[in-house]
Amino acid sequence: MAHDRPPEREAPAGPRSDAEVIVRSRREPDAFAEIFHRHFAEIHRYAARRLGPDAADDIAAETFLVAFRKRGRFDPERGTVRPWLYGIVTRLIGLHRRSEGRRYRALARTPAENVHDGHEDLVAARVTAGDAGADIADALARLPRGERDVLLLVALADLSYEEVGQALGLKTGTVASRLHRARRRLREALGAEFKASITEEATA
Amino acid sequence: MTGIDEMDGVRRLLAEPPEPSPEASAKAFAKLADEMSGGRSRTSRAGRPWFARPLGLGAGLVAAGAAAAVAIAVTGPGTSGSPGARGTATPPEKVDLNKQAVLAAAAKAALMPTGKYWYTDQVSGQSYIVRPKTGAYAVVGAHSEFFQWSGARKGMGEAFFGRDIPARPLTPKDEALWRRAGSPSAFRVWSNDHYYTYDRHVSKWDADRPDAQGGGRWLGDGDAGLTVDDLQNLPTDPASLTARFLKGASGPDPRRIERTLAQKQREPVPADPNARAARAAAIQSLQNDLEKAEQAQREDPHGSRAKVMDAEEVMMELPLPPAVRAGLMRALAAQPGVRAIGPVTDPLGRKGTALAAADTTTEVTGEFGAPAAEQGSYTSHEEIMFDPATGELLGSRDVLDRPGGAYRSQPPGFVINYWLVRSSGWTDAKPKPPAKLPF
Repeated sequence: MAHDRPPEREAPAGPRSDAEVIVRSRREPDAFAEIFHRHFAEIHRYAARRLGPDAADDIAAETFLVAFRKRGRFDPERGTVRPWLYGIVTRLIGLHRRSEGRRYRALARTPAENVHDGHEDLVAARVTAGDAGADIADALARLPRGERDVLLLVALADLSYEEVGQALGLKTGTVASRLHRARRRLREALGAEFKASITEEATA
Repeated sequence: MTGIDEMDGVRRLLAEPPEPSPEASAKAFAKLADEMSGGRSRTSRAGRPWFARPLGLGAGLVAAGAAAAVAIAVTGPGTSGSPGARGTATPPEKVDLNKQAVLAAAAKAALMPTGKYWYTDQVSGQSYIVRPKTGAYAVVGAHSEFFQWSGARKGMGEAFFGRDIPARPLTPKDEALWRRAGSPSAFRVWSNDHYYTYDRHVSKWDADRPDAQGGGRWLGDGDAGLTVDDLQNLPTDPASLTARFLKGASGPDPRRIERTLAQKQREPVPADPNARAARAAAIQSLQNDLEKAEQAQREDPHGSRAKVMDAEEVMMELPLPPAVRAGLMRALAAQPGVRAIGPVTDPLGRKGTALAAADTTTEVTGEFGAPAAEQGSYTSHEEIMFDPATGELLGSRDVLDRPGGAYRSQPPGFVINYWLVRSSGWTDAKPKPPAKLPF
């Protein structure tokens, strides 16, 4: 498997790159359909991993509406289309922070509890992740939003630091530092609830 | 500090969801079509043929991307608390001059002053191997500097800055090989699961989330963080500090993995071939995890690597009162598996004294696309370094013990990554990130 950003990702079918399609769609709006066809499934998948499949339907649809409306502002010199779309979907997910938090907290509960609540998909996720899944889910729920956005764009969307920077409007150094902090928090959560114990004891 | 398992954990927890349903895709496209036509013809557009086209030509590619989880599995330390870990029957101590040096530094740490603002200026980098025909050499990439400050009390403000600093050859020998290769200004290197090019540019300081009303909390926002008062009230004796901060159990517990594995194996084998393959893959992956966790427990039964990293975290990110800092250094020096390793020179050229964790193995496989030159296993240990004159933290690094894998031609002592405190402390003037580069 080649893992160096496959070039075909930006221009999957035919001769026109994503950027060219967007530029063309400024004169011919219908051309934007191509962007939808190339990226809808991926953006939907990302939203589903963060918010669950139902919410993902709305968020992914909204992402392409926003992208279409903002296509005049897409600057092909400054980045590629995937990070741009991920930036939009990330901001939309940000408006659903509470439901994202609820999802992670449900993932942190025991599989048995989730079965009672009819969350079979969450049970499956927990079994795949092993027992550590509860700790990870709990830590994800507690991560500051900026760190969670960076962490999940790297872990799930497979964006490079540079692309995450484009998506969120951050410098690469900032991306690196947020990722570092987020990963530290997760590692701690995988251990002995290190952080929780500090704060509990300190505020007791 | 290349913990990587947690990323894999996130990927597994937030597993691949099903593809969007055709209905959802159609509805989403109808909305877009409506927008594209300026809202005029929802229905007429809804039946256009591109609709029926299979969505997501990218799907396969994306799945490959998501599966491109990181290939390195850091064999972290196992669980904490083996019997006898509590220094009950310490053998009659030989005089360990290296340990004495750390304890002397701890005494100095107790004398640090305080002020209105606390700041920390940190530099982190990761070594990568460049392999031109003229000879392989190591460069430090992902090279960043972070500067953060916070007022002592809420309302005094806080800010966090970051900048990229130039990638550079790691040692004078690497620099010579870099020159022989024509002094390139960009380095294309394998990074976990993809190639990345690091270069020699410097970015401007980028302010991330400055908050003029913030301040007064560390290691967490809002109520979650510690206040100056919380920090002043921390204990100073090594036993309490060990219990509080040096938990050390960062590796997954083999017994937990065993339980999950047994549970998975008890499940009936599904008839559907895809589900069957998924189950087999899950079992295989759990078995690998179990093997790694057991190896980690053998290599580092007391979890010393995690304890050293715990201490790094606390000492880098918290303005600990001097007596607490001193107590924590004494506590860490007394942990089983932690050894004092004598005089060191950190990557900024500063002389230090250091504590090291146990040697642990990291294995890189080709599972996620690593080229042959990057595959294999090596052994390394985590070090925490202190200034012997002041007791201040100089930083930490992961150091090669047994060459192998990507580092097969590097000598023991090769620095795999570092996270340094360039400067840190209390001041009365509002702190500003330095213009001068650390290297």
